[in-house]
Amino acid sequence: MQLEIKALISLLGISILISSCSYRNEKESKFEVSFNSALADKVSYQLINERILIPKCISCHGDSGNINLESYNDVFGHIEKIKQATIITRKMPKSPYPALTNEDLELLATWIQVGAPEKPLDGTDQQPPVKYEPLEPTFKSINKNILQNKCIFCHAPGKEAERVPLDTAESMIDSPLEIVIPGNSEESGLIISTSPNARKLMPPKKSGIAPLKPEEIEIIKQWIDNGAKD
Amino acid sequence: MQILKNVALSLSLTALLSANAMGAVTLGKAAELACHRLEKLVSLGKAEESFITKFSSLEISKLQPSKPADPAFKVTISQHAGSDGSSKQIDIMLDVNGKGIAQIVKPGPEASNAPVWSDKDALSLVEYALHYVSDSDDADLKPFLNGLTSLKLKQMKNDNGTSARVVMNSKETTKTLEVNLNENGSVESTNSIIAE
Repeated sequence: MQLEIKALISLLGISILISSCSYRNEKESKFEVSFNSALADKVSYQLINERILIPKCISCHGDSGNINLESYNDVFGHIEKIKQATIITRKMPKSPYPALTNEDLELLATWIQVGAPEKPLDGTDQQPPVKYEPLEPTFKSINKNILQNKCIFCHAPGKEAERVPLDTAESMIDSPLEIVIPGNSEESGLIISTSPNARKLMPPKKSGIAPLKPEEIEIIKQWIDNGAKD
Repeated sequence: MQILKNVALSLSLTALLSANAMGAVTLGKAAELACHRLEKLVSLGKAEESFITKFSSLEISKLQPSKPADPAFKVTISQHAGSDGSSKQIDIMLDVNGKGIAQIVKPGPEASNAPVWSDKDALSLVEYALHYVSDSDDADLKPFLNGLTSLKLKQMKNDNGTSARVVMNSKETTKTLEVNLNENGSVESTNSIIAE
């Protein structure tokens, strides 16, 4: 009975939204993001979290002291700000972090329009395919889970901090700065500069990016001490 | 037997020359890498923090390595002088690619009258100046990247406040380069002047 009422309310909400809502009509927005009715009953927090929040927001909006977006309640509590910053004014993600794609924006706009539900409104409660890979002491895993989210915006060829390249294992090992010394994590620059007591802590505080977590540093140490081979 | 010796000698020379040709860094770049090396040594507790906060000058020379792993650069970094006029120093040896090979810390008296920097530390200011020279397309600055022999950090005070000046010398020119920086490390101006 309760499920039926919920479904009814959801359908009613979707119908109203489909017929009336589109961000292109927002007075203050100069951007156009369309509501996608085909996605309306399928979008969920889990999907948004995997597709958008984790790869594009959490590096700053984790435990860095900024608005925290690591749980559904946190996200839901800031939903108006999120809408304003990402869809209406497009101020987020801030440069140099990658902008939201049109597909991201459509997904996010649709999700917000249908009430930012934690689970899909069609009642399937199906989890999206898990794309998140657990952190492991391999370059592939470290690159995907840490470097791409917290470092590569600046530390790659053509970027602000290209003189300290972190884009490939080889560039870190070959650098005269000894960013990675295979078998010697203690003297590797990557560990020295990301440790909590570092003189010049990376990522820098002013970047807004959360510092590396102890478990992330530990995994990098393991990778280096194992020879930084793969 | 003599032939074998000659072949071995030729192979060694070829390896050395190719290593030099492939990876040799300029004197200016080597100086910059030595500064970064010093920061790391301080972080590892192998050199005193005062080398960073009381940095005064740097001298660099090219060595003649007999094999690729030998030191190719010797960089001597000095703190401000102590009460007896001498100063704490550190020699940093770099290979042909600018990678740190060894270091020797030379004891000395505590620096006296070293300027205090309010934003960036002394060594970072020098690094910013070297980065600027390294990244610049200005032809007047190239001799200081390719032929740097020494540099000195000075604190300047005027009506606008405190600023930093890194004075560089090169074996490729009789001119002296002054790189003027704000205390936050941003470069304000450069002057290439005839040395007195």
